Amino acid sequence: MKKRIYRHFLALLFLIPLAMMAFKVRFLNYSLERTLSHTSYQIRLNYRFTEAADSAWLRIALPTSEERQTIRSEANQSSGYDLLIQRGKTGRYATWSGPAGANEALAYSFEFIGYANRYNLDSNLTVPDLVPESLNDFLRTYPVEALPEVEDNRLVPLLGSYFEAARDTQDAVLQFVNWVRHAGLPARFAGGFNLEQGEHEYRNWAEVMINNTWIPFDPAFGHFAQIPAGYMKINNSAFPEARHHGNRPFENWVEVKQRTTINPQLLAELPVLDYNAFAVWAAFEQAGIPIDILKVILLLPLGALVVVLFRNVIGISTFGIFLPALIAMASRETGLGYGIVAFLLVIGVVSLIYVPLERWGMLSVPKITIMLVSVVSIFILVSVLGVKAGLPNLAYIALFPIVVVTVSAERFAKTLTQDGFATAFKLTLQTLLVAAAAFTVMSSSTVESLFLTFPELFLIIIGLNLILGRWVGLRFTELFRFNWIVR
Amino acid sequence: MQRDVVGINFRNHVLVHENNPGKHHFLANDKAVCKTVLHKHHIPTPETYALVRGMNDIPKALKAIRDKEAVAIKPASGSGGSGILILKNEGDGTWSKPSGKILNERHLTWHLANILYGMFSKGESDQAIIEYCLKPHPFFENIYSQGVPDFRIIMLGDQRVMAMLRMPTAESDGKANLHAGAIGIGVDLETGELKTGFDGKQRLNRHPDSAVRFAGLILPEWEKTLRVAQETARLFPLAYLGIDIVFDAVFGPMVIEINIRPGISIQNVNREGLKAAIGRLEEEKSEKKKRWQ
Repeated sequence: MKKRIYRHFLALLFLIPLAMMAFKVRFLNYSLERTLSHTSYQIRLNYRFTEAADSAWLRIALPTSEERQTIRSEANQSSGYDLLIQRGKTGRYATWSGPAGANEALAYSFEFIGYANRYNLDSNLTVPDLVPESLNDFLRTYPVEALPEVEDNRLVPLLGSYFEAARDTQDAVLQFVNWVRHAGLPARFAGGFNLEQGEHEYRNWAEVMINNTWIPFDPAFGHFAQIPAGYMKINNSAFPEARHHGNRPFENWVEVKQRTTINPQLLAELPVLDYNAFAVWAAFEQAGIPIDILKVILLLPLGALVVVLFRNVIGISTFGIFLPALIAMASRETGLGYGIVAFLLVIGVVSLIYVPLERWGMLSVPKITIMLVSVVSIFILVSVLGVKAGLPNLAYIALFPIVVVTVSAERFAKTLTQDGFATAFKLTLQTLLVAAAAFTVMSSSTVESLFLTFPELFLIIIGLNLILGRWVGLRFTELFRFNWIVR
Repeated sequence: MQRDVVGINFRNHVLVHENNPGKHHFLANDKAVCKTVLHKHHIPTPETYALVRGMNDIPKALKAIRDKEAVAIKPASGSGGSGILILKNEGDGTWSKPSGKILNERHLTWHLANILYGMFSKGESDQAIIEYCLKPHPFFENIYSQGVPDFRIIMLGDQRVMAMLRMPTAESDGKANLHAGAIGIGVDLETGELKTGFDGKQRLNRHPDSAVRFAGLILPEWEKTLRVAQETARLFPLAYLGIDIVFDAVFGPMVIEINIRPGISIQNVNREGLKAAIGRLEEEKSEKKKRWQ
């Protein structure tokens, strides 16, 4: 009777998620691409006059929402100034005016979400003979000595030749735009920065009018008829247009905060349902809890599955059963490299302290307490020294689940004294190996998106854990261990 | 190999889980309880001189052992030999360790207190057992003079499945622990004859340190050993056990421990998988049944 109930339970663990997933894909139009979590950037443009004056005005260019970028949650972060936002020929502009003391700061914040775009250009297109008058501005050239050589003067190969030639020049975008205009194609500058690459300085790329669409080109970075998601376009001019009255000096800087959010395009299309991943997600967002916590909850069973696989099927033993999954989890904050460093650091500290404490004959609980305090102290020390030495990432090891690692490190020390260094070292390597495997699985963005889209998958993970937990075959390493029987 | 050899998964999920109900595990894991059962049913096991349950039992226990030649102090819940103290009485309330170090009653009190407060049982409070200190049978001293060898027999129900002898070596520092370097010697279940030995790397017929040939020798009091093992197995509601027996010079085979999760290296020592051995048992049983019909 128990076995039948178990079998039915197991079947449900697989069928329910599959049914839910099928339903979502078929009737709610879910698909992996369309529900990929998206990066959004919280941006704050800052300006500060460094000298006092009677009055001041400042004009800056603001990015605008278009098909491939969404600008929202805009806010003026400065008070005591009048702010006027206008549309101009080349973009949107914000103008502040008012009295200005020295060190008065002006700021504007907004959220940017960008999408990558890739255009397939028909290679048979030709350069048009006639260009509408409205585009005359975009044909203005300055003189050149010679245009780059072009073998095939159809539109796409021509652009290709100019693109490649421009890449070798000092001011690639400028050259490209100029040559393209010489060839009779309207071209204009686009300006902004690539947030994905952490750029904060305004720079330009190009747009060429082809078949009534402005197609992006960035010869400086090799993007031909395509634009990456992280490019935030601010305006269509060669200048960011931050102008100030009387040429008074000012400072400007940009603050950027990255976060993961739901693809807004998809959110707009979804019907409102009570039980879907996004309702959960939205609830977390509303409560101000970072999405990362939800990810941890969903992905930890997967990490545990990896550990079970390595232990029960392959036969690689580790310190503690969940420790590798927890190391992997903590490494998501610090990066796997620092995760391993932190773990080894804890083990080293604990071993140094364990040996004398053991000789003294200390009882377990006070022993662990002393080691815990030492580990915490070392972590703080390393974090502080790391920041001072210019390695701020080292501070991330403080995010490690210290208590768990300390307890397992105590076990390492025990193995060290009882079974010798070789055994303890081997177990450490095995633990780190499994942790790295768990990390690879858990940090894959495809896996992440999969689980955020279909959180019911974690029922399947539980089912797999159940099956593996009862599997009684020989472990892979045992095939070697018991080779002696047949020899 | 999958058919004959038992891996850890099979041992845990089939052999242990199905034969040894969790609620009875304490009968094996708590040595104090186990010994009580063995003493009650007159199974040969080292005499318990004192059972120290709390700090106030210590003075009584120390008094009880003052006239004993040698004692062994063990944690009731200890594992892997940790916390075991072997002591020889030097008179005047002092005792000596095998290493030669001299301890007095204060040291003993301190060690007993450590056991009580859980130093060897992961912080959980524990009891201490003070018992007769075994003297190895001359049969073993003739093979190798250091340490105390240990005989392990795997029982399924009251049927013997497989057995091995663990002989200490210089490498194992006198301990009968395979992982520490002791050698495992297969034992023929019918005759008690020692077969080849295995040290983890190669098969041996001689002890690596004394060069004495052991293959072919027959264990002393074999019939009694089998009987002791069988009676022990019948006593406990645990159907898959590894029974550890030591041969004392005076009292012969004595049970010192029973294990609910016996290791699987015994298969390498005997060059046979446990599944195959159990399978043979089943065959013999059905053969016997057929003969009776």
